[in-house]
Amino acid sequence: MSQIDINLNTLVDPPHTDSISGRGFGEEYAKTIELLQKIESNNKINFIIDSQYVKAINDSFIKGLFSKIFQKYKTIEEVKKHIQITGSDYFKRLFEKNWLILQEIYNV
Amino acid sequence: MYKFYNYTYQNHTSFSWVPIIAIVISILSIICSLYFIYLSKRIEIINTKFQKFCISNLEEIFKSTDQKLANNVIMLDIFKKEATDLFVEVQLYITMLTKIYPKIDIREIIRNIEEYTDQLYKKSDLESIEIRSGYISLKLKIFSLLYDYALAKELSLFARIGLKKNLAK
Repeated sequence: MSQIDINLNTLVDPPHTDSISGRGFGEEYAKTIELLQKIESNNKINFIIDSQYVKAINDSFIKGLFSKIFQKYKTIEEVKKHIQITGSDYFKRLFEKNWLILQEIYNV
Repeated sequence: MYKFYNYTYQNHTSFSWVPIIAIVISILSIICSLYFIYLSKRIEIINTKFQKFCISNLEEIFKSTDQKLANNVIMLDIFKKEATDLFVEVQLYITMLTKIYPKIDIREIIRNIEEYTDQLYKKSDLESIEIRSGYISLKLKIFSLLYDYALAKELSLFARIGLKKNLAK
């Protein structure tokens, strides 16, 4: 399993924009970086978020980014085998809370 | 003498439905009363449970943001992050509630939340009054959706007494 780094800092342009939002944008970004295909090819994806550049991420973006992943892999345990967050504890917690919501939604 | 005896005998033994009907009606009305007492108690208990599990706890989650919005001038940049944190907690709580009330439409609630928070993220400047009014209307919408789905749709009881259609609107 090889690791692929994806830097979310490239999605902001401070001081003009320092936050990321939008479910549609998250879904589009997942397609652009071929997130699902990379995971299916048994890669580990490392999302890098630097709090100096990214001040806030709305949960809508996270849900859009991971909705296809949770539709397929269903549980946080499975997703965590393929996804890693490198960033502040705040962002790690934010991603994990949203993964929990997605897990519950797709396991109904 | 014979005629007199015959007359009194007939008066005392003639069959009448009136007392029997009265007894049946009395029994039916007692059964109906007991059934409605049972229904109203059941509704009361289910409502109390819903109030405690759902409404009181959610209001507690909203409380600190409510106070901040009521008393201060709101800085959009700070509030964006705070709104995300608050509504993620709200979504998490409601997601857990769906284990008790599986017909709560969590996706519709999330859609409403994202609509509001994405608007906050898109704007570079927003008056405090606009942030506050959007927040209040979203909060009302969430509570309204919870009442609609959790109460009206979960309670077959309401369906039985014909309230389901009105409540589920």
